[in-house]
Amino acid sequence: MSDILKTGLRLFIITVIAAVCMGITNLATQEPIRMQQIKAMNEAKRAVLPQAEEFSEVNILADSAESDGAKILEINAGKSGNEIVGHTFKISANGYGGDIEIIVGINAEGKIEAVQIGAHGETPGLGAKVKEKSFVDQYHGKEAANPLSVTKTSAMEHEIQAVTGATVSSSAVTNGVNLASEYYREVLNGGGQQ
Amino acid sequence: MKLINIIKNGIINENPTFRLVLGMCPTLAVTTAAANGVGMGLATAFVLICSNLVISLIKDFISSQVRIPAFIVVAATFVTMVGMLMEAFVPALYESLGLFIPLIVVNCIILGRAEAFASKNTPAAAVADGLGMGLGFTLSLTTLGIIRELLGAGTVFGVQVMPQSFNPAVIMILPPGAFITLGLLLGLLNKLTAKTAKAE
Repeated sequence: MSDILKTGLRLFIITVIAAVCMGITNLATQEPIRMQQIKAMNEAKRAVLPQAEEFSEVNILADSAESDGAKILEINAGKSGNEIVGHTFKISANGYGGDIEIIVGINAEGKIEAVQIGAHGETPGLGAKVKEKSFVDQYHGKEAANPLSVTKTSAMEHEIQAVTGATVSSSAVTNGVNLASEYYREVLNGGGQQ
Repeated sequence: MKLINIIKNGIINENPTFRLVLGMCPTLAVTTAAANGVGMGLATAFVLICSNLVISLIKDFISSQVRIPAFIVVAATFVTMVGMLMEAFVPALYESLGLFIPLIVVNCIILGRAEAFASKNTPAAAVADGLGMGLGFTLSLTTLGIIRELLGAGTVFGVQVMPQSFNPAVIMILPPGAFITLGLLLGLLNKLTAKTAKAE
């Protein structure tokens, strides 16, 4: 009996020390991690809507904010002076390895300015390639008026060529972008009003 | 055993991937590109060195009945700490390795070396073993990564090396490519070592 207690106590001491070490690391890194995430988000917004000088958050209408496993998390109106030059959408879409964070910028002319991929859990070397310039650059200049579809062969108008071997990830990103376009069309009415 | 021999042992004679055939899950999963192999290898090496050191320091404190949970707690603590520190201070590296970091806990090299080496040797020898095994693992993963990236995407470390006319064999960066490459490399190394053994 005392042997069991002694063994258990020693294991307990080890786990307590481990917990203290992790707790200290967590305390020390919490703030820097939060700052990094905010910084990354700001940089992403600026990257997908470069003409905007400042951003203000827009309220999301709940009933239009979800479709096909994609969900709008945050919408910002980008302003240059007093004029709204476009909107950025932060979207979470269902990928192959969990949620993919997508940031979409749609300008005042109703064209997709740029798409960026944030945090994701896609397979490295395959699905993770949706993050690459060669894939996301396909969205540049597409009209928000038409939904995009994914193809495995060369892309035509209103089509996006999937990353080879990663159709699920490519479709997830495209669904997310389509959701942003749809919201832009139906709620933001072409971007003229909020 | 001299420390340098312990390191060499981990890289060549008892290479974790090609000799011990340990830690196959990350080996097969992350070697789709050379850079991933290097990253995963180095992150594992770091955790391996730390956990080997701590385990060899507390080996007399851990009773043998609970050694496995104790080893796992030590490895998991280091992995969690490495993950948080990376996310806070080197976000770019964290972004490319983020997914692999939790995988290190379940890499059986960590547990295997704790059990087979660190719990029976001095701290210095344990660190040397961690370094050798870690480097051996990194080298193997990088080799696999280079071959698969070259044939599957036509690049090495992201740089285009194959001519434009080369049509990449996508199967090489898909799971079957991992098994094929690993199997052929294992066979090749066995043949080479069998020859040298005969010559001796």
